[in-house]
Amino acid sequence: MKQVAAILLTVLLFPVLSHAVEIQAHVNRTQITADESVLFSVTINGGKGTVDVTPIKDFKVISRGSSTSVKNVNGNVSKEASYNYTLIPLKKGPLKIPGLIVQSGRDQYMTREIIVQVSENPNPYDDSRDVFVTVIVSTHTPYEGQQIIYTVKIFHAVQITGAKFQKPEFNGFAVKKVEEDRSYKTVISGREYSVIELNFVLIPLNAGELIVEPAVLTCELVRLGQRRRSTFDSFFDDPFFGRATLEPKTVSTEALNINVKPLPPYTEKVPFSGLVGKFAVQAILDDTEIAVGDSTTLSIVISGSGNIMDAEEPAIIIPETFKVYKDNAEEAVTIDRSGFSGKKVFRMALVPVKEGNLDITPFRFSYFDVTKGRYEVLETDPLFIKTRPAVEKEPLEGFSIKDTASFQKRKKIKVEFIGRDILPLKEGIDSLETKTVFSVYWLFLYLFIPLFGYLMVRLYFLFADKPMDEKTVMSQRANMALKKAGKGELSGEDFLSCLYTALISAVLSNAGVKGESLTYTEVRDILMKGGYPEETGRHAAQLLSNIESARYGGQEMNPGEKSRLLSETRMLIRGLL
Amino acid sequence: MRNVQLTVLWIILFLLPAPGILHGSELTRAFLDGINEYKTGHYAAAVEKFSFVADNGIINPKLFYNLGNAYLKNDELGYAILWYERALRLTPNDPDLKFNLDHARSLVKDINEDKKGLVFQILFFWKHLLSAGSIQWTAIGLSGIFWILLTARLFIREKISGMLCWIVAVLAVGFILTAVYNQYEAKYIKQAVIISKAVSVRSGLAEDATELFILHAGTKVDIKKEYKGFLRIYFSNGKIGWLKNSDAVLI
Repeated sequence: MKQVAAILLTVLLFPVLSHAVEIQAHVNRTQITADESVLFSVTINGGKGTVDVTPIKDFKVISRGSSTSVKNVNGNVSKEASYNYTLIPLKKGPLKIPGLIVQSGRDQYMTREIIVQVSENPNPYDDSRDVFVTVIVSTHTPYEGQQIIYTVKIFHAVQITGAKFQKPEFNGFAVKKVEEDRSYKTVISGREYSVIELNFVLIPLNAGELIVEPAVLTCELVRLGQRRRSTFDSFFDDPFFGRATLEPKTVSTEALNINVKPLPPYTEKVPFSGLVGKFAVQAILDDTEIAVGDSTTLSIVISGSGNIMDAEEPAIIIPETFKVYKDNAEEAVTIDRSGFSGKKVFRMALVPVKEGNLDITPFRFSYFDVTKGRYEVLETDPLFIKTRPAVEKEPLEGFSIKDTASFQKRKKIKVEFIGRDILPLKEGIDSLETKTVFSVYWLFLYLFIPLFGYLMVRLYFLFADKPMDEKTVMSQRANMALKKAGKGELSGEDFLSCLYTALISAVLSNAGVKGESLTYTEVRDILMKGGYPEETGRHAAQLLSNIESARYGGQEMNPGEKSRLLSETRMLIRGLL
Repeated sequence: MRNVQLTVLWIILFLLPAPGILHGSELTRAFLDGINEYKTGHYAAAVEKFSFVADNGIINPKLFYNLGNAYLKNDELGYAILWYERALRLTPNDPDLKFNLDHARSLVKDINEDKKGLVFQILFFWKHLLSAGSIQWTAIGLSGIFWILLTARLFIREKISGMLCWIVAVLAVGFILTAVYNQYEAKYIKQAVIISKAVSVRSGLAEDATELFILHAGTKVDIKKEYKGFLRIYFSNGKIGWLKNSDAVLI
């Protein structure tokens, strides 16, 4: 019956209002075993819609997506949308897919219910099956907080591809997957299977009945071609060359009931550590005889299997004659196919402040032993520390470079914390001053203020500072050159060059034109045209001649001559400007 | 006689406590009480006093640091890290704060596996050295210097180096962008600290949605969305989920 892969059109839906939309819901099989699944599809002919699958309670529903297609039959074009699901049975017997509400546009439709008969699993190791999945848990009746191992084994006798494993949601458990999966081969009823084993560590968070839903494996079986015409066919049967066919397959495990027992009432005097499993505790003292001011390390080691990572810092009573500096707990926990195991070490440095003897009261530790089903109280061995008086420190010796050998012998030691605490409060009253940043608007306002100033200056130059006329420009040039010549730090040639520039610029300023050089005649003519007496014109031409003679004559001028020439030029220029 | 009357009037006016002064003295008293409570080992009372000051609108890294200390001593790791982180945003370079925060972080159970922030911290080191306020003032100062240099070049062009202007401009742009990013970060990149001892992060908004992973007090998470009393959070290594608003507090 199972081999009959007939698609059953079980429900034809009746549109309530619309005439154009037609809805069909169908399954691929109505009789399956508990480890098989059903492909369920809802087809909307003539439009799209949404399918509410929440009423399906007897199956776990896995969406397989949707597809749309357009059909053209005798010129009538119609659109079809198909919504596909894989249904995993959650129990055995006649299971119901109830009527589902389909919303298409403004209209609602209802499918008819479908009954699927789910029968007992065959022999789980039935050799006729190519792929199957089994699941076991280490115990079905754990205590609250006890770790259990959930093991999934995927058996396949044929090559599979595109395998996708969907683990259950494990509601009510803390879950950690064991990283390393196992792969091995086994023979069942003479048939060889490859096995992939996955392990999960589950810790039930609360007592009560918990259900682990089925795990689902979807894959494609590689089916090789049946007919072989030549030896080459076997070569091309490799799926890589496309001769093999792929058969989609979905298999699932059964849902598991886990009955989580509550921990019994706690009546011991020692506080319960919260650990559930199997544990041991040990106290170790580095040195049992030390001097006052020296330190020794006390280590409490809690080891075993279970929720070891939840172990809290032990409460050990140390007399006030010792200073205690606690270190951070060191944790070395591993996870494997037997669950969490390892150890947690709590260290503290003890520094005696007085000499004498000290008995450290044994540390008592309580946990719930899952093998015995009761609380166990462990106790560490008694410890004893003998404290000597502090050794008198040797006086400091003077150190010189001659002591290099002894200096090199001194080892540098990495400084490590021997105790941890936070630094003290900040008591300054300035703690009451609010320190805020201003908003982005204020930020940009402050940024724009100097930009605004710059733009104002530019605007001033643009509108207020009009270009100077030639007369002014040449007049300013004459004054600057005269000023430069008067500084007295110039060489002879530079000094004469400045005087020349000053004189020419002063004359050109009178003409109202820009220029760099003039002849003696031009100097005289410009000044006479400018209304100056002929004497002035001749004087200016003569002075220009003197400057040029000195400039190009190559003779060094003495300070007296320079002073006289500067004075003469200055007098003339002042008369001209 | 008239002078004496005037003097008396001024003294009375001076001594009359204005509402703001009274309020200030009340906060000062609460702050000092908080310090005393802390020193005498009454950490819950210290938390109450410091919280009173903070609730009155005082935003100060030292106050937040003290609150972090008080919460930590009071065994409230989540709130301790919350206030240390708030202080860190105001003074990222306070060594005392860094020391205490490091200590508090060492007590957090969850390990953040993301390492992406390290390169960012090296490339934009000034962001992590200076407070947001210092960055703002530096940006404003550099911007002012730049425009003053540019203005001066209008008058004495040959005396102001163009290279100097470029250097100042680049620095100013860097700090302005950092200041703007700080504003953006404060407004849009939200982070929170888990305050409950252990919190189930779920796949949806319902109480019975699948439990994805568990976070513990003091763990810092990125907030991606707030919706109907739930926060969509990102922890590390791709771990995303929803938790209740009451389980985490925004930094």
